[in-house]
Amino acid sequence: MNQVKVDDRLKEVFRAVFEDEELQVAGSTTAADVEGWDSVAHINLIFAIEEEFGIQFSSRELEEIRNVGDLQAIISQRAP
Amino acid sequence: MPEMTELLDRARKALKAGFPEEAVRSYEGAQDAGAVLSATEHVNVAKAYVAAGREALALRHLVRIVDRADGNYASWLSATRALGRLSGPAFESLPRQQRILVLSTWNTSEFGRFLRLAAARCGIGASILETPYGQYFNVPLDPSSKLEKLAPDVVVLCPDYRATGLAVSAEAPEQALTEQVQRWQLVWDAIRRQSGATIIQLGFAIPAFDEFGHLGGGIAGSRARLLRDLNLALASEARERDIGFVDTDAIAAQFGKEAWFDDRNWYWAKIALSSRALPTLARHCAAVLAARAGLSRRCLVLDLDNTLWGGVIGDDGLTGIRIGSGPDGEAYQEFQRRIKAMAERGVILAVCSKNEPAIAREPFLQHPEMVLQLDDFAVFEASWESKSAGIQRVAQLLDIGLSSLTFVDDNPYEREQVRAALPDVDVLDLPDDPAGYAAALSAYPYLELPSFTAEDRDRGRQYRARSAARELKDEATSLADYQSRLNMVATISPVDQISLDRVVQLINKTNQFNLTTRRRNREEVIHLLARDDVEVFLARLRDCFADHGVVVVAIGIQVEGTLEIDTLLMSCRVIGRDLERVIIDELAERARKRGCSEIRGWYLPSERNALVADLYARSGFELVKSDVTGATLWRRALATRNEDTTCITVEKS
Repeated sequence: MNQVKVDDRLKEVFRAVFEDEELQVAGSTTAADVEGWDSVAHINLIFAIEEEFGIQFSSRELEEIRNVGDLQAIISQRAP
Repeated sequence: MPEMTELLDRARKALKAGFPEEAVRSYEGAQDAGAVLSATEHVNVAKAYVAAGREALALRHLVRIVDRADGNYASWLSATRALGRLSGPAFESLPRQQRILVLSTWNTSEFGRFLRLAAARCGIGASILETPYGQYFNVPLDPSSKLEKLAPDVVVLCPDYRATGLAVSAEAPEQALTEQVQRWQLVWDAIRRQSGATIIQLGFAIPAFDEFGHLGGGIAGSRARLLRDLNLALASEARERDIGFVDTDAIAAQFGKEAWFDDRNWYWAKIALSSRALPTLARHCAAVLAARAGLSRRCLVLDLDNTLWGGVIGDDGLTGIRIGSGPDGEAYQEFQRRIKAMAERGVILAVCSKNEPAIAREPFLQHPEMVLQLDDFAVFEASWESKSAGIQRVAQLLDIGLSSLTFVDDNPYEREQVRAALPDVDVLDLPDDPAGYAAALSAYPYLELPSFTAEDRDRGRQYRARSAARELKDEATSLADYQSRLNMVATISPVDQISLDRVVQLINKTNQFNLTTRRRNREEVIHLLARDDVEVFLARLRDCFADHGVVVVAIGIQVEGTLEIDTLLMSCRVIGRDLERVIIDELAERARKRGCSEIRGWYLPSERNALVADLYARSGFELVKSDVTGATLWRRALATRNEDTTCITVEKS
């Protein structure tokens, strides 16, 4: 899961939500690694991702996501 | 166009490399070349301007996001964050400054940020005054006049349907409706007693279907019906009383209720709608705010060719332009009809066209399908000069400010030219397809009806006089009165398997009403529960409108003759009801049973818990000591019983 390649579009969403053009995200990136990724930012991030990829996460899935790689895996499965 | 893409690319690179002036030049070049920037690009331009020290221009670009409410959630986030970093002077360039207090029954902190951006778009430099969530009633009714102290210019009231506590079906529908109407209007009275602030009431967004399904609308006591009636009652009362009303249900319907309501957001963060709908709500709310502040647009300045009819009159002639027949022609005709309807309710119309004046007038004089006529227009400006010059002439002839005008033109290049040359003129972005023109005009919220006729104004004055007379008769409702009617019941219980998760959650995420902010994980809590020297309990609270669930966690640890309050926290949704008094009494009771002679508690200051710094002082404790960090230790001897009562009935299970 950590080795999952992070899509450019997903990187862009992260950059927009966290206001950081230089932000690097990898499969192993977690909330602890990104400044400002608190519970408020988390919700904003989820909604931004859902809008960008036209998908919806279940509450269950969100609880199980541990790192960006997990997010990417769901997106890859789901997004058309 | 490759030149534009190149310029945009250069701009982005320049910004990244730390050359904001270069970035600004490239962006301006791109715009001159006719580039229509995306939402993200507008935010990037804004950042370039900020870096180049030109904040007022940055603001102008940030507010461009507002009219692209849909599908740009990430851009709104970026824009509001960038907005937050602008300094005062940038906002002071806006025509109006307002302190806006948002009172809500849901978590509106993100909404508040979006509202600030949307308000800036409408010409209002807003400071959003934050109150803890759930203080909708408490702040206005607070006997210590919190509201007066906050001194807002505007109070925006944001309730949500869950807060009505309406059952799916009410036994006595008329009574239920009256109670609701009174309850929500109580707040208007309370605000008016303390402040001349403008009040904006948001209506209730109603879920499209509930358990009654299609029957709901026809059943007198159904929640759907009651909510609709409640909205109608509030909307008409608001009009009587000079209070702004935002038809949230209509906004939600247009947005699409399936997308508007997102229960996940309620469970996660107590936000009453999908976060993706917040921009739309903020945009409409700001439009109503602007209307109340006298900042609405009053005049539509219309292009002719491909705007009021299909084709170019100078080239296609009377027989070649499309109006009335064919799908295209019908769309243009409908557009004209909508414009005419707006004129009938008071909007001024003007023409600004690049044409020979005589040729521009031909369709009005001779084409049978035209809906708009020459005398519908206050000014008919046709020349070969630039649109911005023409628009300025329109303003002069009408003797109104540029900031009263909205320019309508099918051509994006013309629109951007006017935006750049005349930033005070608002521009309506028509979609590419004429079939969408009429809807775009109807959805444009910045032509709010002037809210009063002289008659209405008088009515408002009369009402205020009546209201003052009532006050003198001492009919004021205090917070205590209000709370005593809530029939609040607190249930104190031990922590069990079922409630454990919720307790752990509260321990870890409660920030404001938390005396010691001691975080413990699940294992640590379980360990604590097993100890003999520890009292742990939770409290649930319900009232006649809602069951708030588990809202308090209290932990006391016995050390010889003292029970020390290790943890005392409360969910912010029930702050202000005096529930803490009940909890402290319970802790005192338990301490007594253990043979303790006193209870003690620390207040450990954190970034967010200033709210409870004086809790122990207010609860009959005396200060034992304090230290340099601001931490304070308090004690209360158990022989001292607390004489005050609360409105809360206590049950134990």
